[in-house]
Amino acid sequence: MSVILVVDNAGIGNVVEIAQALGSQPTVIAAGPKQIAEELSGSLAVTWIAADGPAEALAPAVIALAADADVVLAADRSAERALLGQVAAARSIPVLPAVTGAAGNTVSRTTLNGLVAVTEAVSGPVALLVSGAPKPVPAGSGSFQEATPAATYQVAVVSESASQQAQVDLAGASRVIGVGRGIKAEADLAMIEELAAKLGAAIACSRPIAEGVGWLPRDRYLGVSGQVIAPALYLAVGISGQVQHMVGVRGSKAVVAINSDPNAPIFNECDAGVVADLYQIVPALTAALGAS
Amino acid sequence: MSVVVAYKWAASPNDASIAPDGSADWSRAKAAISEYDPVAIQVARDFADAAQAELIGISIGAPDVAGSLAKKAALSRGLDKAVLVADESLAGAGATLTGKVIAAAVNQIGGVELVITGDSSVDIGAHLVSATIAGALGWPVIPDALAVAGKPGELEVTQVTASGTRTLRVTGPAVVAVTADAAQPKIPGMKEILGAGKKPSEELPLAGLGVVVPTGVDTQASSRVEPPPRAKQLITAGDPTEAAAELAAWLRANV
Ligand SMILES: Cc1cc2nc3c(=O)[nH]c(=O)nc-3n(C[C@H](O)[C@H](O)[C@H](O)COP(=O)(O)OP(=O)(O)OC[C@H]3O[C@@H](n4cnc5c(N)ncnc54)[C@H](O)[C@@H]3O)c2cc1C
Repeated sequence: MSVILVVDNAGIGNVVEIAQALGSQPTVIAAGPKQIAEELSGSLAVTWIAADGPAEALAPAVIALAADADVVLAADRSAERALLGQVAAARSIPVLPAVTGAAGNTVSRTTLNGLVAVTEAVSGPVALLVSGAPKPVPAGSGSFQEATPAATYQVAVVSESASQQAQVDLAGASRVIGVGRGIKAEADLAMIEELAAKLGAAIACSRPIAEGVGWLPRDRYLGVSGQVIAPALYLAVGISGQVQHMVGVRGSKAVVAINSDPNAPIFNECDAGVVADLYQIVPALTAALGAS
Repeated sequence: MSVVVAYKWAASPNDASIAPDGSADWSRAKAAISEYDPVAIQVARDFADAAQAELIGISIGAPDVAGSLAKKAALSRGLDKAVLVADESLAGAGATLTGKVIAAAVNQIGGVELVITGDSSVDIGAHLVSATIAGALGWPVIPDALAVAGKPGELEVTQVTASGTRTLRVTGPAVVAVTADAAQPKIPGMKEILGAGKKPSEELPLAGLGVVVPTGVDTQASSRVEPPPRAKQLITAGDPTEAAAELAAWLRANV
């Protein structure tokens, strides 16, 4: 018997596939908005924890409902990951991160931040954190039931503030420009925006640009800890190409790099590359693309 | 009253050399306080100062976590004391075991109502240990925290969400995992490094913690992840206009 933990994203198609590959049709424990639970109940048997309050408060109920499952799974997203880790420790069962595949009783995943692939045989209850972009669940038959939590933690939302920065659908974009620390100032993003407009590309970034200097929102950085994309073109500008970043873009059809350091690792993972100062190449490329 | 911050002593796999069979040679990689953990220590130090609490660091792992290099590196970042569980059997411990051992150490210290952790470790990067500590303690975990205010047992946590930020009020003990940019960690100076040698540290024997090791996973095969093969066509024209024209032509032909 397997169960998938869901909070606020119904795109668990990839997690369902892993559960099925391990030999069972999963059910769902939903600890988030009712509407997400109802959406999934069109294709899976869903138990929704009927309570106000954030998923952080509902862990005791999730742990109780997942107490007997042989396999507990979750998509690798923040709220779901937090619940999965709590279930694993409360039940004292192993939790395997970065799962990418499964067959019979074996699980494939990566470790060392994406550098090493391992295949492991599982012989007992286990928790699996499944990698990959959100994927819709294929239509099927499901059901919906509510569970009233016996206990919750005292965690309450006091206030919320929406980000002023525009949300961009990176996963749906066919062309993406990634900017890295080769960009010296926030104002220089204007030059990237001009190129993006010419190419019809969305703008993403490396982690330090989102979480270090905060020039772009957090949902725009690519990599093991960020978004995973597979566009037709990924153009990396001033990005060194550390594995933690590349894991997020390896599915791209074409990878193109602009970097002034001929030894940057990105040049080992690109289809085309220009070894040059981005401050010279980016405006020139915008002009060259316009000239056609 | 004590606040705990959990930190890892680890080297970056980017500095290891990985053989085709997936085995890692760490001899040229230097262990340090894991990439994002200095941020956690800084947030914890600032919180402890405001709450007038003692700050205890907990680290668990292979024997080198209790080595003088590791202890000094952690204590010089502002801990009042370090509590270490160093045991050969904890080398490469998974998230469940790590969380349970840290939780057991927290219980041993006693009277702790707040455990702060970093975002994820430099070597594994699973973002799971904050949650397994919480699961083992029976406490809530608040991930993606930008700021922690209030006092132990009554926290206000600012959290990053997909659509912005929100503030959570947490009553009772909790684990809080801070984002990679929740604080700017101060680089320890000579004074802090010298002072670190005088600060106390304590080792807890693993056997005394009564932690049962989770089992049931056996490695069958491992290999180095090879990036997909690519053409690596380099444009080397010295003149930017020429290089840009070549790249534009490449894009028109291939994308
Ligand atoms: C646990 C963990 C998880 C992580 N997760 C992620 C993740 O999900 N995503 C991610 O991106 N990173 C992640 N990282 C960080 C990652 O290891 C790298 O540090 C990061 O990707 C580097 O970003 P960068 O390439 O922008 O910066 P740098 O590595 O500093 O590279 C900047 C590049 O710009 C080039 N450059 C400088 N000036 C110019 C110029 N004028 N013209 C052209 N080129 C120039 C330089 O040659 C250099 O190659 C993670 C790290 C850890 C420890």
